[in-house]
Parts: sequence; structure tokens; C-alpha cells
Amino acid sequence: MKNSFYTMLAFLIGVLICLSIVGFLGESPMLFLRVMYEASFASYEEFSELLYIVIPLTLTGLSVSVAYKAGLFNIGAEGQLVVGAIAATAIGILIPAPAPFSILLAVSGSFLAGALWAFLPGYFRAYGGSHEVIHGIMMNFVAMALTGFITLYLLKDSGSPHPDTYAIRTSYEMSPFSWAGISIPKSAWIVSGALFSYVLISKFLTVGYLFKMTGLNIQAAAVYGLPVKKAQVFAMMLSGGIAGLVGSHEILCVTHRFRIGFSPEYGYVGIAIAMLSGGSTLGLLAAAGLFGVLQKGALALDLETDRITRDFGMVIQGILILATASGPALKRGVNSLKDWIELRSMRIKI
Amino acid sequence: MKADVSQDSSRSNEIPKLEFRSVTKKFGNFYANRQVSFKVNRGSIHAILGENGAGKSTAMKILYGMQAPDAGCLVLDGKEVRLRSPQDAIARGIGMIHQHFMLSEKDSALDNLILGSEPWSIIQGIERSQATQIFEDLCQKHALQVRYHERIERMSVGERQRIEILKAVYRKSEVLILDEPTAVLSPKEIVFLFEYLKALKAQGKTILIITHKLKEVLEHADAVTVLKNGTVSAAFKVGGLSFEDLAKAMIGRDWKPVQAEISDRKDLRPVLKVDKLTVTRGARYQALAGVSFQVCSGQIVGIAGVEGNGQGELLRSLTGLLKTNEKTQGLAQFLELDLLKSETQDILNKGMSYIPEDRQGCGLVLDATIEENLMLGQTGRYSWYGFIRSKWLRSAAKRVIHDFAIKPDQPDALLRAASGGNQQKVVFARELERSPKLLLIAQPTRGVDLGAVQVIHERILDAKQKGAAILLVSSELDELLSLADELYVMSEGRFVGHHVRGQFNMDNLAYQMGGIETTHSGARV
Repeated sequence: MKNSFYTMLAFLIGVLICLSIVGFLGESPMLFLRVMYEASFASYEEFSELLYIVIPLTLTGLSVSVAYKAGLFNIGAEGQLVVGAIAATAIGILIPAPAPFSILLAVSGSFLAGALWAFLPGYFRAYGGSHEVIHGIMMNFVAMALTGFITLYLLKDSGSPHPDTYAIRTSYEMSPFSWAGISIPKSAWIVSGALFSYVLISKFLTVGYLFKMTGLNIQAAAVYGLPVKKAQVFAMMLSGGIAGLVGSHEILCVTHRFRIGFSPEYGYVGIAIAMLSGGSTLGLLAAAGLFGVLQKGALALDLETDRITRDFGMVIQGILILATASGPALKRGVNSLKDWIELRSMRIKI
Repeated sequence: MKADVSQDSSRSNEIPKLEFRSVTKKFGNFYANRQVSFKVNRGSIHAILGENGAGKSTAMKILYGMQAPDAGCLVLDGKEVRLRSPQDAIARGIGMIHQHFMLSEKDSALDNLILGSEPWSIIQGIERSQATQIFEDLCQKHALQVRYHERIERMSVGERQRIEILKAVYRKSEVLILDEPTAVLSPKEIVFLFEYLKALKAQGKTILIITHKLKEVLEHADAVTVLKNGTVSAAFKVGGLSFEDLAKAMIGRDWKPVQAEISDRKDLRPVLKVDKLTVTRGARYQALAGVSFQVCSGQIVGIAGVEGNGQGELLRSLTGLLKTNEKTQGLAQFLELDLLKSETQDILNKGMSYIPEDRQGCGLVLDATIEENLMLGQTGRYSWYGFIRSKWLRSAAKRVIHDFAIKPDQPDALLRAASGGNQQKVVFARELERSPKLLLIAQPTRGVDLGAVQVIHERILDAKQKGAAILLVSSELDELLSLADELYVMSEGRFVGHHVRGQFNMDNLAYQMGGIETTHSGARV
């Protein structure tokens, strides 16, 4: 409880720093706040659009968190989600299937593709001792090249001037449903399922225990016979699979076709979200929401203000990550200040 | 009983070499040192005694300038000093010999000795001949044998320690601080160390020894300050002091050592059979060179010896944890299971428990809760088709916490918050909870406070009563003498002695730990 208090305090300090920079640039902080707020919350439409950003961010944040639980750093979420998307697209174009089965097929296809893409970094880490970050980054490049090849040479829509594939069959399309005036993409169910599984695994299943022990002290886990190597590979694949689900969200709910470069680096932002979340599910949702608001607001800054561009969104993201991550340091600082005062008074008594 | 050293020094009317005045150091809400005051006389050996976590190390770090006190001050030669760094401390003649030696392995003893304060000339650079001369003088003066052209990595632990001490002397240290100096030495080397320290004392050096070994204090120190929970609990002159007095001041209650009976059970069934076991590391280095022994149910077999003589390799080969560059030969059998060809998981499932030497590194997961640690290696027992049986685990954890008097007593408390002794209790609780057929224990009481030592020793004997076969590896001879039924002495990968309870021979043991095989081992005391 106390920790989250200091994190909130640090976050507020970060916001104040952002506002003072805005003021320094000659723009009104109040205007800035209003633009940021209205970009996401002014109308039901804006809020629906926000959901389309928050859903993939939640998934990539979750993906990085799962690997992190087992002591691994999945920097390859970007590649895994692209591969997941191409898999969903290929299934959607090539396999004729009726509605509920088609969705199931595409979703599991994108999950499997992402998992397979994460298999190699996980396997090399567990059995070869090389670092998963190196392989993860390299697999990202391979993923870009591979999906580029598939898009341009195998599934290219000859009628389109853009680098994109044919559209998927209509039986694969998921149209949004509307609730209290907000249109919600059906991939919300995918996210809920993933979050539910995450809670189930980390709180109630022995697999979650295995991940946790492997992540916290792999040596002790190995001494007491836990299958740590399998755990590392499995955690990496699970992480990759969750990142792959972003692909099915994007293809089935949004674009209905694969377009090269569709992801505004969801995979990398997922790392920041996972770090901010502090390992809790609620924290994950909050962090993904925050980054959604920031990304959406940055676009509006371009239009609504004179002196601030969308690049300033990156500055805000950076400042807020730094500020929130320094929550524990803030706590230590406050505590040692208290100690110092207490000891001063003690010394006077001596 | 509580004699105050300050009275003695005022009687002799001499300014003490060193004085702590109400030194306080706080970490968070925890007082590592709380108003610690004591005086150390010039030309004396002064022991700082206390259990782990009593604040000894903090006090010495303050003295060596590694940490600044939050309140209070240090007085050196009657003048108040502020030490900002170890360099500061060295400049004022304070030298520290760390428990883990700070030597460069690949360089010669001479280079290590002069490192940082080399005799230097513009023409020649480092004046090696002059340095050699200085050292020959120093060694002659102290009647020491040091092979100063040898590389550190080829030296024994005792020799390394001598170089550390020489290093301090070379830097003109008047006060020498030794942190747990005997922890890694064989009995022979310990005797040698104290002879040397007494020679230094005769030259007027002041020596501070941090230790938790009562025997050393009684035999070698002139005065002792006992720390408990960060405060000075007692200060004594050593003459006429008894073991019981000191123990009581240190742990705050009477100390009863545990002593095993001579076991007269005749129906001993071998549980662990090891025959000509050899472990080769790399191309040809034999870390373990053909050891053979048996452990029967209801029997404790001890392995004595200075650390790093093959004990680690023996335990790793018995638990399926050998590194990839280590190869085995020979036989190791646990009931019908061939240990050398089995996976760790299978060995544990067969009924073996392992209490590793490095409990924080591989015995426990410090950032997990107590109950999660109790589940380590016993996932099958506390789960049902992949689901954790959390209620059952919780009740088992509560029972164990009560049984072993573990603190903190919440099952969901993080283990990092527990003391060394309580952490070790968790390891024992977990491993004994399974009623193992075979129990491998390495250094069970290292870094554990005396109160917990008693609990742990009782539990080991308890497990023996229940019929477990126990292999106990320890470098604490006293521990082995009080627990083991049979005792092997290990040196350089071989057994150099074998003793049976009732026929332990201290002299032979001491020789053998130094690697010397004696012909008539096991002669009656």
C-alpha cells in the first residue's frame, strides 16, 4: 500500500515536470491538459478509439510480464506480434471456415506463430546459455523480412497500391459490439481471456510457481529438481503467444488485411508498460491505459497547439517512465530524511 | 560478572589506542549499532564477539572508514577522528584483513604486497630489488616464511592470509582488524596464525579480531567486547573467564551443547554406498580421487576437512548437479538408484533430502515467501493436477513455523526479512518434513546464531533417531565431534583419516586436516 503511494507521488511529480516544460515552451499547461484529456475522453468515439490502442498495449505488456516472471526479458514481442498477424492473415485468406470456428482458428494460429517465434530465443537461453535479448532482437528483424516477403510476393493484393495483402474472408471479420454508447472491439474478449489466464497461472497453478521460482533463483530451483530449462522455454513461448494475439486483434478487428509496418512499436512500448505495472494485473491495465492516452493525445497536440508537436508525446512518455520507476527511490529518500531528523534529535539528547 | 574495561584502563592511566564513543548506525528502522562504546588498549589482542547480525561487521566497517556513523565518534590515540574512506583509515594506521582476501590471483605475492604503494624511481620504474629487500627484512623481523615470487593462485589459504597481514604491516598499520580470520583455516594454521599475532602484539601493534568462536577468544585474546543486537552486552578481561560466561553474554541465555550418544544399533542397513568415486574436472585435475564409504540408516557419517578439498564435488556428484566439465568414475548408489546417472528430480523423489552449503544461493529463494520456500522441490506434494493446494500448504506452513519457532511467523512473509538462523530453519523444516531416507547436509550452522545451532543439532539427531541415513559435511570440527558416529577426514580429494565415535583423536584429526596421513588413526583418546 505504501509503495503504491510513493509511486503515485512520483507519477504526480513527473506530471508537474511535464507541465513546467510545456509552460517553458510558451504553451499554456491548462490547454495542454485539456487537449490530452479531450483526445481520449471528449466523446464516445474518442474513447472507442482509445480502446483500439489500449488492447494491443495490454497484450504486449502482459507478454513481457509473463517472460519477466520467469526471469527472462522478451524484447522480441514486436517480431512475435508481426508473425502472429501474418499467420492470422494467411489463415483468413487461405482457409474457408464458418464463423465461430474461423475466429478460433485464426486466434490460435496467431498465438502459435508468436509462440514458435519465441521458441528459439527461449531454447538458446535455456540450453545454450546465450542471451535471449540478442536472439529476440535478431528474430525481430527476421520477422520483418519474412512478413515483408510473404506480403509482397505470396499474398499481395494486386489491386492495391499499398504494401498489403488480400483482405481476409468475411467469416473471419469481427465487428465491434456496442455497450453504453461505446463501440468495443471484440478482441476485448481475447484480452480478458489472456488476463484471466495470467491471474490463474500466477496465483493458482504450479506452472506459475515454477515460473516464479525460476525467475527469482534459478540455482535453487535447479538444486531442488524443478525443470528450470523447460520452464524458461515454456515461459518464453507463452510470452510470444500472447504477443502473437495482438496480430489477431489487428487483422480480425481492425484492418482485415496485413499491411507492412502496421504496429507503432507496440512490442517495445509493452516493455515500458510491464515495468510500470510492477507485476500486478491492475497495474498492467492502468499502465496500458496511460500509454494509450499519451499516444492518442500526442496526435492531437499537433493539431490543437502551436508550439508542441506529436514528438513531445515521446518526451512525456520518457519523463513519466523515469518518474514512476523512481517511486522506490523516492520512498528511500523520504525515509532517510526522517532517519536523519530523528538521529539529529537523538544526538542532542546524548 | 559484568566487568568494565574502562575501569581497568583508567587504573593503568594510559590513553587507549582506540575508542568507540556512543557510535550509532541505522539502516532504515534497524539499528545495526546503537550507542556502542568500548576501549581498546595499545598492544593488546581485543576480540569483538557476537552472533551473526549482532553488529560486529558494521562496527568494523565504521572503524575502517567504509561507513560513516550516524551519531557518536571514534577516538584514536586520544584524538577524535573522522574517517571518510578506507584510504583515510590506512593513512591513520588502521589496516583490515578481510574474510575474503583482496588479492590479485594471477600476480605474485610481492606484487600484491606493494600494490598501490610501490617503491619507485624515475630510472627503473618499480624498484623490485628494493621491494624484495624490504620484504626480506619484514619477514625476518617477524620470522615468517613467504614465497614472495609465487603467484597467489598457487598458495594455500593460510599463506594468503599471511600476505594480507604483511600487506597491512607494510603500510605501517598500528591497528589490525581481522574479520573472522579462522573461518577458512585448518587447526594447524590457526595455531600458527595466533603465534604470529602474538608476535605482532609484542611489537606494540593493536589487534582487533571479529569472531563468533568463543574458544579462540578464551585462548588468545586479552580483552573482549560482546555485541548483541547492535549494543554492547558485556565487556570482559579474558583472564579467569569461563566458556559459559561468554556464551551467556553472547546469546543471552545458558548454552547447552548437543551431544550424540554412541549408537549401538546392530541392524544397520546401508542406504548410501560410495565406492572409489572419482571426479575429474577439465582434462585431468582430480578434484575427488577415489573415495569409498557407506552411510547406514540411523547413522551420521561426518566428513571433516578444510573447505575446497573435494567436498563440493562429492556433494554435487551425489545430487546429480555436476557441472558439464566434471566427469565421474566409480560408483555411488542410493538404495538401488545409481546416483551418477540420475536426474536431480528422480533422486529427490526416491527420498533424498539435500541441505546445501550456500543456503541463500541455492537452498532458498529469498524473495519468495516462507510457504513458497516450503514447497520448493515438493511441488507434487502440495498440488493437485497442476493446481496449488494453497489451504493445505498454508496449514502445513503454520505447523512447521510453530514446530521450528521460525521468525517471522507469517507463512506469507518474505524470507529475505528473516535472519540467517531462521532461514536455515526453513531449509531444515522443508527437508525434514519429507521424512527423508537419506539426508545430505553441508555446513549446517555456518552463519547461524548459537540459539538456532542448538535447534538444528537437535533436529539432526532427531532425524537420525527416525532412521535417516545422514551424511554431514562440515568444516566445524566441534560440530562433527558432537554429532557424527563415524568421521572421515578429507584432504585434497582423498580421505586421509577415519575415526569412530568414542575413539576420536584430536591430535590425529588436526594433522589429517592439514593433509598429513597418520599411521595409527583412531587410537583411543
